Amino acid sequence: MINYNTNLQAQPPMSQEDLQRAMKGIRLQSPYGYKQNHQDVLSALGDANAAQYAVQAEKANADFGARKLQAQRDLALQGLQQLATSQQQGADLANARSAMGYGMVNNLLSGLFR
Amino acid sequence: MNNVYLNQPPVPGVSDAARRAAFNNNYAMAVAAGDPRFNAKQYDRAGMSRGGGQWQQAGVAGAQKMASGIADAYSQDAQTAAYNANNQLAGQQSQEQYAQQLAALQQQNAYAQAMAAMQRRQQSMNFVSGLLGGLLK
Repeated sequence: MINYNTNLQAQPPMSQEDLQRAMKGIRLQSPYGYKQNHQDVLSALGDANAAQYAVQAEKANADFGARKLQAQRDLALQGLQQLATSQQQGADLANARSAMGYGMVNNLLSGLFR
Repeated sequence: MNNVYLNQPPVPGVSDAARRAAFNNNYAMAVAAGDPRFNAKQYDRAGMSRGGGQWQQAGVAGAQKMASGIADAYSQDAQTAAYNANNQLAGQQSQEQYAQQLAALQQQNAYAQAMAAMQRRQQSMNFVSGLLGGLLK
């Protein structure tokens, strides 16, 4: 396993627990007033809204996680690519250096035994 | 600052608990909205008392609300299921793509190393060949 240190955001902006706590206890007030308050229906509406909100929040968190994972993979691949490129450049440098050495000895010998 | 771990498991989608809660609450809201008393007010007319006609209309409206609300509960859950399936698919695709990119990178690196090694052998063979050519001239 390869580890990289990055400055990517590690957590979603708000946790699921905080969202749920914020959504709890929301109840709509009936606009009809006396004897027509329909609190059962409105409570059901509030609960349904809270549950739907939780589903949307989980979707958003999943999207966040997927994008974060993708960003990390892209970053890791970029890093590995640069590592490989630098290794290849190092090998090219070593080869060029040894070619210089061979060339020098070659010239020396051909000069000496001309 | 955080650590990046390669080869992570795919990101899960919406949990079963949240899906169940959303479906149950949507269903309960649909059933609650089916109560004719909830639907009677809209048929009241100023100066006229409520009669059987209004209650009949309220009953029909309640039944319609209940039916469409239940259908919405099912279709919302189906959308969430489709989202989860797409999410899973995208995760697997991303995993596969990552693995292929990694393999391509390794292949490219191995090729470059093999070429560099061959270049080194070529240099030494050229040298020896020049040496022998000079000696046996």
